Amino acid sequence: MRVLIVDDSVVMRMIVERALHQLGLGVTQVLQAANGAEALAALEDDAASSSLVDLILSDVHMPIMDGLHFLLERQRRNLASGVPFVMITADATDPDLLQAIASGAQGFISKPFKLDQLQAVIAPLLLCPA
Amino acid sequence: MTPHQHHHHIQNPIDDAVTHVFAIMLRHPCVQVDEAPTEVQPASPGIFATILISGAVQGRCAVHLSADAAARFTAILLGTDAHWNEHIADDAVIDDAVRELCNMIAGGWKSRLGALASACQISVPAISHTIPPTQPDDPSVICRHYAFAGSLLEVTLTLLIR
Repeated sequence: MRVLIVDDSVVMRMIVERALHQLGLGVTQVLQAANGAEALAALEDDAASSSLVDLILSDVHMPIMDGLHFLLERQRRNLASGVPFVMITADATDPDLLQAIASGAQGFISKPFKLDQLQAVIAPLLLCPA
Repeated sequence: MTPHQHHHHIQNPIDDAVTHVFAIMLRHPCVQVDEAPTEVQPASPGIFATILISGAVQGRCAVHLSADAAARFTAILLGTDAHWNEHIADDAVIDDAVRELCNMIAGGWKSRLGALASACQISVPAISHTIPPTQPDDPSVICRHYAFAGSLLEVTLTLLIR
């Protein structure tokens, strides 16, 4: 399984990657991006090589391109359109998060998170992708 | 709401948010301490992360750690606490970890504000290595100190309620 983690915090990307491996979901490759623009480029590269990630985990607030605009631009470009998209945020009451959910994100994980909370959100999506 | 009740209404969520972050992300106890510890007093600038609060609640949330405390926090967060001094050599990683700590504390505090939560916004955290201007006698400033792993954390909320 391949996962794309999008976060401007390298520490948070490391923590999320470690958590994914700890969950034993069969993650074989983790792609990382520091913002939505980098993430779109990674998805374009994937599309060019006929690869596809199985899950996208994205922070909400990032410089250059935030998580909401990444979500909307991914949809507009029809990139990895069936791939579950989960927001990660420290502010569960953020209007941008609510808009992302309304715009097609399949769920969100609130920081700080426990392993079982991460699993509860992403495991069903990997079994039954959108 | 009296000023005393208002202070409690704001202060309790800070303590809850801080202890929650440490319990969940670090699996490490973090306890509130009453005295302003010398390690985080202005004599040791260390690292400051600041988030601006806007909307129905306006102000800022700042966390302050000494350089040693920030390195220790980063090591525990990343799971390298056995040899934290050797592994956490990159200042940018430490800044990033403190930025995330501030983000999680401010987000946790905001989510505990009840009806006010959805009416205010928090910015992305900014890092500074110099002492920001403070007004310690201002009644709108709430300063709390916490001890973890032999280190100290200072959290300051400066608020203006509309």
